Amino acid sequence: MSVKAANAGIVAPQGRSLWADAWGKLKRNRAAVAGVWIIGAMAVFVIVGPWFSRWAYDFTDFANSSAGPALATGHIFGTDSLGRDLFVRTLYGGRISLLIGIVATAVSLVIGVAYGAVAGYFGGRVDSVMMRIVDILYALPFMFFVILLMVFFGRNILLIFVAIGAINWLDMARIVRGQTLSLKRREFVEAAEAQGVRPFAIIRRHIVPNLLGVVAVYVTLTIPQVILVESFLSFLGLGVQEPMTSWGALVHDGAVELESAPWMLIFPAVFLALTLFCFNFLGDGMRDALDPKDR
Amino acid sequence: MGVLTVNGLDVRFATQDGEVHAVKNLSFELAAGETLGIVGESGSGKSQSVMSLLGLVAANGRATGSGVFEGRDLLKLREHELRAVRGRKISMIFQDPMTSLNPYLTIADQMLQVVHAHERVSRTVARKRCIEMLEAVAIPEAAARFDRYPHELSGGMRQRVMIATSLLLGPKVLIADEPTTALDVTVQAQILDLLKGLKRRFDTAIILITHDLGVIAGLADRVLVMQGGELKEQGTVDDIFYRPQNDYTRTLLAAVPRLDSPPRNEPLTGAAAVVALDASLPPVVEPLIEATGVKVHFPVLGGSWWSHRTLKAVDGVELTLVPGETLGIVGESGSGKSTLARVLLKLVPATAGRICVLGRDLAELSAAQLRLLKRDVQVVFQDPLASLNPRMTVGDIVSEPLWTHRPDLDAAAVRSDVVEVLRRVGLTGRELNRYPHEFSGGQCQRIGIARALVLKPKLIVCDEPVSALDVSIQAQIVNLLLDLRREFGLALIFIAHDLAVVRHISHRVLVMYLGRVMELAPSAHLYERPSHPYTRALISAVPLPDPNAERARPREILSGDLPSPIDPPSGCRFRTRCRYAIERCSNEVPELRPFDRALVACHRAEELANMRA
Amino acid sequence: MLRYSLGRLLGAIPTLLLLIAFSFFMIRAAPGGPFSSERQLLPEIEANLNAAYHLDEPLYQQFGRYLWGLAHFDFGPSFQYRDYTVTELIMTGFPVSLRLGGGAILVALLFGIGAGCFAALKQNSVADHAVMAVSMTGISIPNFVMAPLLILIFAIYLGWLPAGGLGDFRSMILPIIALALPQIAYLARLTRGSMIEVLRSNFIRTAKAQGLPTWQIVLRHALKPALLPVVSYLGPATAAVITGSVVIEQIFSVPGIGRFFVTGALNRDYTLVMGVVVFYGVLIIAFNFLVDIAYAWLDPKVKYR
Repeated sequence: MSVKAANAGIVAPQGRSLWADAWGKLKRNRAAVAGVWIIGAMAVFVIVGPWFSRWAYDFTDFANSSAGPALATGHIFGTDSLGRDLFVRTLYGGRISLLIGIVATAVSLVIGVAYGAVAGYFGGRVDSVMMRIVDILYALPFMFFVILLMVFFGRNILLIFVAIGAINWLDMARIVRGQTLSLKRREFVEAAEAQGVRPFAIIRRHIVPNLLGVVAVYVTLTIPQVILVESFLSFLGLGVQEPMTSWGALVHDGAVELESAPWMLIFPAVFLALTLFCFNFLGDGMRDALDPKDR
Repeated sequence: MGVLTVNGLDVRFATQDGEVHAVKNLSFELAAGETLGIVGESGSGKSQSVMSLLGLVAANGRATGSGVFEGRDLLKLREHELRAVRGRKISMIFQDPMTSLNPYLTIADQMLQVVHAHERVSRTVARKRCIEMLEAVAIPEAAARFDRYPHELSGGMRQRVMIATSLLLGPKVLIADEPTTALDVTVQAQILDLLKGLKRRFDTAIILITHDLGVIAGLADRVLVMQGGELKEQGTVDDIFYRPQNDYTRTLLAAVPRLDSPPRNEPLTGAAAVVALDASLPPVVEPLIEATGVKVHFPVLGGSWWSHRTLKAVDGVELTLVPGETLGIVGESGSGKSTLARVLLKLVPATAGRICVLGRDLAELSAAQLRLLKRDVQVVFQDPLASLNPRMTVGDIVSEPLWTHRPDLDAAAVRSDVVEVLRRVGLTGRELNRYPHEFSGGQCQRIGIARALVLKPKLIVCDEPVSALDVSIQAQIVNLLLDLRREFGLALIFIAHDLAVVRHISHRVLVMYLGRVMELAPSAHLYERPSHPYTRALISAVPLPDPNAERARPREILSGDLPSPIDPPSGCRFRTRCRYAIERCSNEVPELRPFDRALVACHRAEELANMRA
Repeated sequence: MLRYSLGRLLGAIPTLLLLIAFSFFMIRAAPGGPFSSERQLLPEIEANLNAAYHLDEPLYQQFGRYLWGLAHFDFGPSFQYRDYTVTELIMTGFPVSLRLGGGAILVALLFGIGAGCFAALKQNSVADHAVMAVSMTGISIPNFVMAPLLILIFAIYLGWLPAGGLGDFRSMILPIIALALPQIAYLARLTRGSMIEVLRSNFIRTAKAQGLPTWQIVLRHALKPALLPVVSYLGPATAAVITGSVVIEQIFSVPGIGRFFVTGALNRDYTLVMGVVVFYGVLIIAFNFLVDIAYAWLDPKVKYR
């Protein structure tokens, strides 16, 4: 066998990539692992749960309105003031809240990563101008604008996605730009440039894989923020339209009936808080796993 | 009975990957007023051993054994008792003066806190003592500097402040952990000189921890040699250097590149031979690189957007490189050597000047043409691990140049080439699917060299390729480069701040200071008969790993600090620290002109040569 | 330092103008006017009302008129509360909101930083994990969920504190706590992380090697650099408190500016809503500016350039 063929056929053992390292570290973080399981269970629950419920989420049963949780009636979470089963509404609200969380995060992800990567990679003037714009936008009380948008242009669910996504992209853009800038200065990127690797190949092979970690962490931490914003809007009565509901809207309804029917507040609040809790723990765990020495 | 007696010191760390045994059964004695040098490479445990005596190891470390000081075992003391010892009876200075001082407090604040923590004196008395100590360590305008912030002082001055603070309370023992490693060679010489003077004046015992054998030779009375946590050998400094008993000690001494050993004698051929004899001659063949009047100025950020200050990293450099030649570029921080390397590769745009690489003017090349040129010019970087993408396998990293420049090769051919070049640099070829972080520094640097070599370039630019490596590994890598050079007929540009390393590998050496060339001479010639005052000071400052020679040498120690590259001195850049400066030096920029087989930029080159003769 | 401040000040102006312009044009672009939601008016009356409030003029003229008014601190008349100007309304509500918001920030700083430092010093101990778990809860439970719960527990079940409204300082306690909780949580985590990072620095190692007592190392060496990120965070923190106050004021029936905003938005009271948005916007921008200056002042590398 020629030397060349022998060389080509060499057997090389598999190494331990940094992702594998991080994954191992994450698995050891019990809070994060618990968080993943709970979120998974929650997702399954809210998607599948309403199919097995006796009532539709908008079925009003005036006879049983504002009834407390009781196994006998089948309303295990009780009913609200219009007699709708709280259990199925909580699950249904979960669908909406989680959906908004994911979609709005996706919106801010796309905008933020594109903006941040361009600013970071090209640097110089382009970067200064782009970041100045971000600075200006950052100082504006966005929440107020979103509220105004909701009030004046109707409570369209699509608008909600876009509006909420538009609040969070600033953070993502800043993070991505910061990471891109520091990556550009790293020696291995310089080495690639010195070799004559084309810019697009550099971005593909060297920059993006090293950005993924940070982006993943921030996406995980943005989802709860977005759900929180949506809940806030719903709480003000500006979120999704009736009869569609979300956890925030349910909390709003529950807060009104606090003294007479506390279960209306407690159940959706617990679900909301638990979900946010888990996402935050997961995000934290991911941040710890993808060590600072990586960045 | 010595001032400090250590017996069976053992330090272990509990980490996620198991227990790390940092120090294994170390015993030694420190006599009053003596200077004990502890020398070893990374991982030898030299720092951890003394840190454990003062209770400064990390929380997951456990120290057993005994360290008796003034009749008490330091390892058994309670925290508040140890506190009374730290800073007062045993004080310590650390490696990096830039980060070892609190940037948010004034020098005064930090020094006074140390005084007041241990003694009850009035503020006025304390201030007086501090300022006196600052004067003792030769800080100019001590009283004014006292109320400044650390970032307003240079690295050398900060280290002096640290030394002053450590001596404030008259300790019996001063521990210096790599005190000069982070400093430039000329500044290091100043600090070592200072330590020698203070030793005589204050009669403090010093424990000097370092990896630099030259420093040990100059300062230590007795030496401990450590490796992997174990004490390999101990003895007087003469014993260790002239009569080493242990194999490791011998290996270490052999691996150290020395300024005073006879240079390697390789038969020189071709164009390289010509320039190696006389650096002032023009090249006899088409040079690989021809650069004239190169300037690289960076705009300085900060302040407001209406100020126009520039950092003149490279301010008028010319050089030529012929095929097969190795050009060494030396200089301290701020000299512009790294920037020069980058501008030759067009990684950084030149502000002025003309650079021709392989006969093509860099400024006129299109992106595609530049890419084609890069096939023949490759780079090896300083930090071995950082220059490799942590998310790519070794195989991919070394294959990348082939993917970029030889798309005609199929996967099997690429793989074959990669394995071959990995073998050539001393690896096995089975590293293909593993990741950089799984390898040591030396191995990573070999991978970097493999990557540079896989396209069989004509020229490799090495930017401080061995600075981040241990001494014994440095020698291996330098030997590897020499072998490869011989086999492939490579031209090399070798950039370093370590003069001894450069000497062995270079045909010619270029000395830079503040962005300009001071001297360009054949390698052997430079070290035997340096013409430029800066070169002389630089060579004089390098500590020799030979106690008798080191102590007997006449020193030419530079005064003052490096001026700012934003506001360099007029005329000759070096004049502010040159003891031979005359008025002409501030008015007229010296040309780089031929003198005695070299090119020198000094108005008084002939005069000074005559003076020395 | 002065140059830096001026630079920052100049930078704040475009932000302010953008804020005002954005609010103005968005509100004008919304369907419906201040008089359309009420009972049907005769066209002539509606035209007269529109003329009286300058609503029939071209937009850019209305904008110019508004800017001019702003320069004189005149936000215009409220469309909804006919007898009052917006300025008067804001001035009645502001002191209440200030007490609430200011109180919340002070409480948050005190408890948040304190808890954070405590957790950092006892890193990885049970106390540390407990503090971090509690603060995680604070971040995960929105304050509009926490507020009704607080009312439920403290006002209704236990009856210790009044459920808001305007009264003596006791009625402010629950609203301030509700508003401060998420910020306490965030500040605790931020301070802890920052403090741990600083305690790992080389200069802390030096201070320890010099024999300084721990309390001195923490207070005089570590605290200042550790608090720098906290100072930076104060800007967004204030914005969050202001935003949160809208909801808290509603839940606890506190007569501050927040409720004007909500009712104004629902009733298309242009000037009132604009007034509140601009007012809060200016507060946030001004606060961010002060925070920037404070940060630069604390960091000697910026101060003594």
